[in-house]
Amino acid sequence: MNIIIALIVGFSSGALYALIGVGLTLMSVLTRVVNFSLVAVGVFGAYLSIRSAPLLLTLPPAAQTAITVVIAVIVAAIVSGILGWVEATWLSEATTTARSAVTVASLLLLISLSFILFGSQPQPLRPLLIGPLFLVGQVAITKVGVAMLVAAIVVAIATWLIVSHTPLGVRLRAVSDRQTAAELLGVNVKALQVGVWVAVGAVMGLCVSIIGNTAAADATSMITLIIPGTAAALVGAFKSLPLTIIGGLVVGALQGALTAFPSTTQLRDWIPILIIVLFLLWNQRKEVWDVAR
Amino acid sequence: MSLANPQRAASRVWLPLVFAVGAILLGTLFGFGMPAYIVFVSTSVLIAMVSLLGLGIVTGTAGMIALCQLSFASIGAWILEFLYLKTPLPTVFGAASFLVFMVIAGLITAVLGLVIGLPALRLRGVNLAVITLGVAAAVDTTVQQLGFPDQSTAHIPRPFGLSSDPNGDRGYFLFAVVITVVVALAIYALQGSRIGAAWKSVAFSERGTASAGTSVRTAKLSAFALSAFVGGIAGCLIVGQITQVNYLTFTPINSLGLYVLSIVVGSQLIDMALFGGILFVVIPEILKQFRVPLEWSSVAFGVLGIQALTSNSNLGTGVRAALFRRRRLREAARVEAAGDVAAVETVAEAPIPTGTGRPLLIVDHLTVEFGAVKALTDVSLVVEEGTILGLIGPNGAGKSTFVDAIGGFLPQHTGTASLDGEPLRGLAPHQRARAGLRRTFQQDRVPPSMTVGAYLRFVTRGKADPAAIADALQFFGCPDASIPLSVVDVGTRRLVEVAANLAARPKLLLLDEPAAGLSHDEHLAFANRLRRAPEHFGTTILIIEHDLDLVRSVCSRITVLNFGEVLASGDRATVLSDPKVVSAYMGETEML
Amino acid sequence: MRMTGIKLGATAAVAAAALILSGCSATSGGGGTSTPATGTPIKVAALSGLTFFPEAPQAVKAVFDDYNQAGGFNGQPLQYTVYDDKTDPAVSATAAKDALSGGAVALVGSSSLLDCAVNHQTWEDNNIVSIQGTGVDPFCFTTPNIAPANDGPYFDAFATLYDGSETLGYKNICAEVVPDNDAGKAAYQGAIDAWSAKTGKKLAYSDFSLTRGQASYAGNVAALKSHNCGAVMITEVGAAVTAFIGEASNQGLNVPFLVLTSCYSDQFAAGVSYGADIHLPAEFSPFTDPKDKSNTDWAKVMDAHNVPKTSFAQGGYLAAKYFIAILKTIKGKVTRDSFTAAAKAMSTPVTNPMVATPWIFGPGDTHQANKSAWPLEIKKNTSAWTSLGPWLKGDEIGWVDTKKP
Repeated sequence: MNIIIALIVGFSSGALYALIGVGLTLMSVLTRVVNFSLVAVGVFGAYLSIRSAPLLLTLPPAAQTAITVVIAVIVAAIVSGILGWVEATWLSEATTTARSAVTVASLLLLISLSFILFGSQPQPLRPLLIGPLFLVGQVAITKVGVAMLVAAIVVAIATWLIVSHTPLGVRLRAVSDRQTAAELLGVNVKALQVGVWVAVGAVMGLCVSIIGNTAAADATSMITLIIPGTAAALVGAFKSLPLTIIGGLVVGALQGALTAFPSTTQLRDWIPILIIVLFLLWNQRKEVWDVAR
Repeated sequence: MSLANPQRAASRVWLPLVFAVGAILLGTLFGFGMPAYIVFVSTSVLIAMVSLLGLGIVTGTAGMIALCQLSFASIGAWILEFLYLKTPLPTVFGAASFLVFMVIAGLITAVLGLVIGLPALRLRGVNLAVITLGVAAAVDTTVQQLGFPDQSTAHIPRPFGLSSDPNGDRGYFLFAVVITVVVALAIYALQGSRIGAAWKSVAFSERGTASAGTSVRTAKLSAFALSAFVGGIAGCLIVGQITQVNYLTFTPINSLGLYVLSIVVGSQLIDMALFGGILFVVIPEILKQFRVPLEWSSVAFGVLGIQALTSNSNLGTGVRAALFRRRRLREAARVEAAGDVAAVETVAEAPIPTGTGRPLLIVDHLTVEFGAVKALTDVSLVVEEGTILGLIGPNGAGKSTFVDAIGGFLPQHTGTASLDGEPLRGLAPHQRARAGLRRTFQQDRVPPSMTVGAYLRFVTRGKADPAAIADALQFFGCPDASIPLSVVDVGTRRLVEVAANLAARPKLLLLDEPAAGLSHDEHLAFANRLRRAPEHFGTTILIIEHDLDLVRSVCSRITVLNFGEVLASGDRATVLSDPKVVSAYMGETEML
Repeated sequence: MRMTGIKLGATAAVAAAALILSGCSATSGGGGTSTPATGTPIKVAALSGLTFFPEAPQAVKAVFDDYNQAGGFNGQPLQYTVYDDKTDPAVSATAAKDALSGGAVALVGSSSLLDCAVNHQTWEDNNIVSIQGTGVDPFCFTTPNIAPANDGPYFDAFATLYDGSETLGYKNICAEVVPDNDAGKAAYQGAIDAWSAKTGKKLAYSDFSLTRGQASYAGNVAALKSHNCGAVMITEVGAAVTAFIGEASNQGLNVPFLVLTSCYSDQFAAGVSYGADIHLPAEFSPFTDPKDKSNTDWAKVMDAHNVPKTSFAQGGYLAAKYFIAILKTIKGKVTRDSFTAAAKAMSTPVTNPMVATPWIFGPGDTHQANKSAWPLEIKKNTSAWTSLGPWLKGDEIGWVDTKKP
C-alpha cells in the first residue's frame, strides 16, 4: 500500500478531528475556555437519544431517525449549556486555565456517568451516513469524512462571518476581550456565553449522531476522541480556525499512514504529538515569558 | 521575640522528623494489628498519597497543569519490571534489588519527565495541559502494545524477600509507609528550600522569578523531573503491591481523576496530599461495601472538582483556614501594627546621596523596536555608583521598556550597556540578577504563597542570614518574616519586594514605580529610607517614579524620557526647571 | 492458640452435624415445597468487570436465590458477594484479598478480562477454586484452580475460523487480533495453528497490532482491502467490532466477518449495519432461536430475576449450576478446603443441554471442559441473529487445548 493511499485513508478520521478542533477553537476564542468536555456532551446526547427508541416504534423509520437526532442535539445543547452556565456564573473573571480545569472535572464526571448509564457494551447508535462517497482506485473517500470536513468548514466560515460582520459578532468579541467593559456597556454577557456553549453543544450532538458508532462503538472510547481533537486545535494554538482544520487533517492522515505500516505501530501514537509540539515550539518561540511585560 | 524565633526555627526542623517517626510507629502498629485486607487496601492509600505528592509539585506548587502523572507511574513500573526480569541485576543486588531498581526507575522516569517538561518552557496553561494529555494517551497505547515485562505470567518479587501472603502484605505495607514518609519528608524539605521557593515563584510570575536571579528553565524542568521521579516511585510501589501490572492500572482517565483530586484537596500541601490519598481509596472502598459500581466514585470526584474550582478554594486551604483562623487574625493584626510603624516612624532626615563619582551603569545608544514602533531611540545614560538616579517621563515615554531592556527581558535591542565595566550583552535576566543587577516591577510579582522571610531568602538566593533579613525588613518597616505574604496588602508587598532586592545587595537596583499604592505619609517615610539605602546596602539605585515630589526628594540626578528619547538629563534642579520638561509634563497633566 | 483451634473446630463440627440433620428433615418433609434456607450462610464470591459483564454475576445470583428459596444446601443458604475489578489488575488483586478475607469458600461466575492472569496464583496459594463464568485470558484455561464454564476466546477463534473455511467455504481468510499481551498472542497463535493443522489452510493476512480502545481502524481496514480478503476474523469484543465493521462499511469493504461470542447479543445485532454476513460460533446454545428448547429453564430464571438474556448470563447460570453440583458431593462441613477437595475429586461430568460437551472440574493442572460452539449469523443488511447449527465439537474438529503461557 503506498503512502498516498495511506494518507487518504486517514482522511475521514482527520475530518472528524478537524470538526472537534474547530469547536474547541471557537469556544476558546469566544468564551476563553478549552472545553475538554466538548465531545463528551455530544456523546451523552446521542447515547441518551437512542434510549427513546422503544417509544418511537410505531413511527415510520425516517421519523424515528429524525426524532432521535433532534433529541440528541437538544440533550447535548442542554448539558453543554449547564456547563456554560456554571462557567459564566462562578468563573466569569477566572483565568482560561481555571475555566478549562473545570471542564476536566466535568469530563471525568461525564465519562463516569456514561460508564454507569451506557456501559461499555455496543449500543445501536446507527450512523446517519455510512459507506464510501466515491472510490479512488482501491481507496474509499467516505461520506462521513466528507460530511465532517464540510461541517468543519461551514462552522468555521459561519463563525468568521458572524464574528466579523454582524452586531452579534461585535458583542461576542467584546465579551471575550473585555468582559467587564462589555458588561458596563449593557451587553448580557452571561446569555451570550451560555449561548455559545449551547450552540457548540448542539453541533457536537449532531456530529456524534452523524458518525454514529463508526469511530468507536462505546461511549467512553468515543469521548476520548477529544484527545486528537485537542491536538488539531493545538496546531492552531486554539486561535486559528484554518490552521485547526489543517491540523485535524494532518493528524488523521499521519495516523492513517502509520497504521498502514504495522512496523511503525509504536510510533503511530507519538508522531502526531511530536509534530504538534515541535510546530508549537516553533510557532511560540517568542513566548519566552508568561506575560508580555 | 528575637529569643523566641531561633527556638521556633529549631522546633520547625525537628517537628517533621518527629511526625515521620510517629508515622512509622503508627504504621507498624496498624500494619501488624489490623485485618489483612485492611492492611492491603491501606497500601493503596499510601501509593495514592505518593502519586498525589508528586503531582502536587507540578500542579500545586509550580502551577502547571499536568494530566499524565500515572504515565510516569507506568514508566517507572515498566522499568522496574524490566530490570527484574530482563537483566542479570537481581542476582547482583539480592534482597536490596527492589529498592535499588526503584531508585533507578525513578531516575530514568525523571529524565523522561524532563523531556516532557521541555515544551513547558514555551507553552503554558491549557496548551501544556493538552500536551500532557496527549503524552498520557501515547504512553497508554505504547505500554499497551509493548506490554509490561511480566506479560501477565511472571510475578515481581517484593523487596527484602517479602512474600505475597498476608504476612508479606503487612511487611510490604510497612515498606510502603517508610517510602511514603521519606518522600513526604523530602518534598517538605524541598518546598522549604530555594528550589521550592523557585517553584512557588514561577507559578506566580516567570519574570519575577528570573529577576530574583533564578532560572525559570531550571525551576520548571526541576519541578517536572522531580514530579516524574516521585511518579515513577509510585509506579514501582504498585508493582510491589500487586506483583504484576498492566496498562489498565495507569489509564489516562485515572490520571485525570488524580489531577481533579489534586485540585480538590490542594496537594501541594503535604498533609492534604496524604488526606487526598485516603479519599482516593476510601471513597471507592465505601462504595464497594454498599455494592455501588465503582464509577460513582469518579462522579463524586468530578462534582467535588467542579465545586472546588468554581468556589476557587480547596479542602486543603479550607481546612487550614478554619484551623489557623486565629493565627491568621493575629498575623493580620501584626501586619496592621507594622503598617502603622511604617507610616509613623520618623528618623532624622537623611541627605540625598551623592555617590563616589565612578560610573556604574553605562548605557550607550540603546534602541528598542517593536516591529515598526520605536519604543526607545538612541538612549544613552550613566548611573554613578552610590547615587539615586531618577528616570521620569510621561506615560508611554519608554521608562519601563528601558528597565526591561537593561534587565535582560528584551534581548533584541541595539546599543550597549555595561555594569561595573562588564558588558551585559548576551546575559539572560537571571544571569544579570546574579551579576548584581536587580529590578522590581510595576505589577505585583511577589508570590503570595510564601512567607515574607521565605521570599527574602529566595530573592537574596540564601545569601542573607536571618539577621540581615530582619534588618532589611525593619529598614523599610515591613511585616515580620514569619507573616505569610497572602495577608499583606499590595502596597506593602511592593515594599517587601524593594526590601528583598536591597537585602540581596546588588550593585544596581532598578525600581519601577515602587511607591505606587502607598499613602502620602508612607511616601515621605519611603523617600527618607530610600535616601539612606545606597549607604546601608551598598547599592546604587535607578528609580522610575511618577510622583515628582518623591523624585525631587531622593534623586541627585534625573533623566527625562519622552517618546522614547532622552529629553533632558542632568542634576535635579537643572532638569526639573528645563522648559522642555515642564511642557512635556504640563501636556500630560492637561490630558489627565 | 492450638487449643482454641481445636475447640472451634469441634464446635463447628457439632453445628454442622446439627445443620445436616435439620437439612435432611427439611428435604424429607417438604419435597418440592421446601422452606427457605436460614442456616449459617455459605459464602461464595465473584470478581467481575461489572461494566463489561454485569449479567454473569446477576445470573449466578438468580440461580442461588432460587436455590436458597428451595432450602439451600441442607438449610444453609448461599451468600453471594460480587466484587467489581474495574478491569484493573490493582483493583482485581485487592478484590481477591477482600473475597478471601470475607471467608468465601469458592469463586463462582467471575467474568473478567484479567482475573485469571492476576489472581490464579492467589487462588492456588489459598487453596480456593474459581468456577469462571466468562474466562478470557489464557490462565483461565491453563491453571489448576480455575475451571471456566465458557469456551473462551481462543477456542472461539478456532471454531469461527473452522466454521468459515470448512462449513461456509470462505477462501483467503484474514485475521485482526487484539493480543493484549504475549500470553494472549501466543494463545491466539496456537488456535490459528490448530486450525491450519486441521484444515491445511493458511491465513491470507494477519494483523496483531490492534489495541483496546484504538482511536481509528481506518488504517487496518485499508490494509485488509489491499490483501484481497475473502472473509475477516476479528477477536475484539462486541463494542469494538461494531466500530471496526462501521469503518469497513465506510471504506466499502463488504466481505463476511467471523466474530467471537462476545458479539452474541441483541444490542450488537441492532447496532451493526453491514452489507455482508456476520458469523459467530456461540459458546452456549442459541437463546435467540425460537425453536431452541435447551434454554427454557435458563430463560425462566433470568426473566424471574430481571437479568438481561446474554451469553454472559448463560455462562453465569451454568457456573452456578456446576457449583451446586459439586456442593452436593460434599460430606460434612462446607469449607474452602472441603469444596476445593470436592471439586478436584469430581469424576462424573455434569451435562446440560445448553452445551454440547459435559463439564467437569477434576484433578488436572488445566481445565477446559467446555469446547463446543453453535454457529449463528446476522444475514447481510439485517439486524437479528439467525440460528444455523449444528454443534461444532472441539474433539471432532481438531481443537488443541490452549497451552500454559
